[in-house]
Amino acid sequence: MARIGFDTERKLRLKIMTREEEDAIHWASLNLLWKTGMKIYSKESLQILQQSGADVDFSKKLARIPEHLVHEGLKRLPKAFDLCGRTKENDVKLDGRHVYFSTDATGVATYDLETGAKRGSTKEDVRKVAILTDYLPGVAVFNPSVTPLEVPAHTHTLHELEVGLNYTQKHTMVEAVFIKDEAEVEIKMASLVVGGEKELRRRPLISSIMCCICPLTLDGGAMDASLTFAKAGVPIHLMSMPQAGTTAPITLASDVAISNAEILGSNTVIQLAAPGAPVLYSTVGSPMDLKTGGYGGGGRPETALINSAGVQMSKRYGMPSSPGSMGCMAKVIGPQIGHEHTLVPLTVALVGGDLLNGIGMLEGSKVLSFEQLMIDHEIATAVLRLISGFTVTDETLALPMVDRVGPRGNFLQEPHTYKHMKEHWDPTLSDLRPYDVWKAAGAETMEQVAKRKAKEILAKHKPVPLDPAVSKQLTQMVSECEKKPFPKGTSEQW
Amino acid sequence: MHLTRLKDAVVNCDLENVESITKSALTAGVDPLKAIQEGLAKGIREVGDRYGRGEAYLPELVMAANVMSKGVAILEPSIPKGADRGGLGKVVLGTVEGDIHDIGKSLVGTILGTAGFDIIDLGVDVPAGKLVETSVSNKAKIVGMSALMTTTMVHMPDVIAGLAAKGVRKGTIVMVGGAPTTKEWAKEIGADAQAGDAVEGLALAKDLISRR
Repeated sequence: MARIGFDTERKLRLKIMTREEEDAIHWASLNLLWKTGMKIYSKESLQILQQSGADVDFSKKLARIPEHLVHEGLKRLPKAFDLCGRTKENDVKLDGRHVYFSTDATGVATYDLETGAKRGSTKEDVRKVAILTDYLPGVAVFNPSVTPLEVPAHTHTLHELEVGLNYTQKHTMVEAVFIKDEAEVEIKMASLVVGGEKELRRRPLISSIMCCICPLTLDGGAMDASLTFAKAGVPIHLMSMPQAGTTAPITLASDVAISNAEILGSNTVIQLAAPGAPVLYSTVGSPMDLKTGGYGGGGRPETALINSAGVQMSKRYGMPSSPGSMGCMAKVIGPQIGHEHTLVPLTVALVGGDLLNGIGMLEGSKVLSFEQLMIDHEIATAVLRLISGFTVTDETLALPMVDRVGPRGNFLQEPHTYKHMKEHWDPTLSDLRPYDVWKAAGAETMEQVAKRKAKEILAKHKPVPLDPAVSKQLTQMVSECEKKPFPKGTSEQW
Repeated sequence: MHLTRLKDAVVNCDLENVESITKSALTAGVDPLKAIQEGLAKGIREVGDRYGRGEAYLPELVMAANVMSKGVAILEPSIPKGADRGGLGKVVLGTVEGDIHDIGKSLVGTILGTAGFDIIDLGVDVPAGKLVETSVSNKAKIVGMSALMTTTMVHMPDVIAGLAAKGVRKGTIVMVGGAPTTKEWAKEIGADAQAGDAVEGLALAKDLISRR
């Protein structure tokens, strides 16, 4: 049986739509892409679509994408690939058989680990997240969590990437990039670490998020940057965030169809421009708050249903997935976040999500809490354990042993118990002791244990450093970019 | 080298090879008492310490104790009669009347046994009178009783009263354990100590013995 944590093998599987319902969603998305079309603010994207046979209106920036192009896009995408780490042991295998978790992006505030005060986020916070990610077995991918507010705004993703490359051997997911030149710098930085652009294509150490604008719109700069990444072989998370009731219909079926159309549409453009580019299917549903119309959060049943439906569609297409998983509206660590951060990841994992995101954040991914990061890791390991199920064999039925021990015996002293004990979930924060023992040991709450352990890890764990010369060069590349802003993206030009 | 291998066999829960490792130590002329005290027992202390820190699992501790017992059984016949075994004294153990839970109690027996105590385990559902009599006739230094239910732990004071009636209460250390027991409960019924787990039980037992 797989060890719990990194590389958990999926055993349990759930479907939330019938095959007929899946077909209906697929056809609805094709219908939307052809009849309604997508607004695409990227000249390069529109040109590629037009040359390939789409119906493009440049004045309206509207592309109506025919079914055969969508299917061509699906035919070209790679069905399995790795999100690579610096070393092979850290590679995330997107093969449909494994399940992983990543941290989240991109908040703007942090609960200080020392003072407990909520304050603007810093590069040091990003560094701490990278070190914790490097250490914790249940977190497979580093996503910067918060943005450093003290650096020039146009270079924040570069600073985040610099931290990821330096302080964890695990894969780095960079935050959405909206400018082509910025994407080029990121590709250069990652190439420097892996040993060239050819090697980066073979072993993508970074992946990028392309966030669609719901409904049915693609940002120009984001698409231009994505095409740049795609041509370099950097995997792209095609992220769609339908907000039921505002940016998408209130009914979930339509949210799934629109989100599916956005992902199919953006995949079509990318595969036409860069055949075989690695992409991930990333649905992050967030129904509106019915009372205010505001963001209703990612930790509710509807989110679980929308994101799981997205995962089911991704399976249909053979596209690996990185569904929204841990999302919450909770402001403080406590019961609300406990259910929010369990419900959705458990469901999307059961349906077959490959890389589940969202570890460590409060307030709708706006605020980082190191304590919550530790607690989310605990939840993640429980989900991973559950997903790995159990096997039924002679060894696991163990009838000869049961026969030998007999009625009223006990199995604690059996070598069989010792042999298989590590297959069980072993919580590191949840307390299972009797009340008196817990009280005598200091009566710590889960939050207090999480704080203590986060501090211990940060004090002790030293990630394997990069070659100092490479590290220095990365710093120089970032500071070079600080001197002047990047030229604006195409969406502003026309 | 032999002592380290004996220690490692226990630490690594090497049930398969402990026999051959122990025999080859004997063949090489290692003093059997030394093999226990500076080999096997050193290993169980290491695992016990790790367990106490929450780093080792219970089945690991049990398995290590099993490995130790297997080694001790091979060494035992070679120890010269009358040799100072550094024994810590006799301990009478039992789960109290009406209660059949014995995992924790048996583990206490194993752990105390490997540490040098001489264990007389009366099993489960043991009447107070039997615990008292066995203790008196064996001149036990410690009586340890366990209960997993609030409905059976009430028999614990009967044992203490029985020891007092026989005039041996002062000379006998009374320890209690099991999920519903607490330090407060031990104090209330006049027991000398309560332990939350076997490792704590061992530490308390050694401490109380050393103060006598």
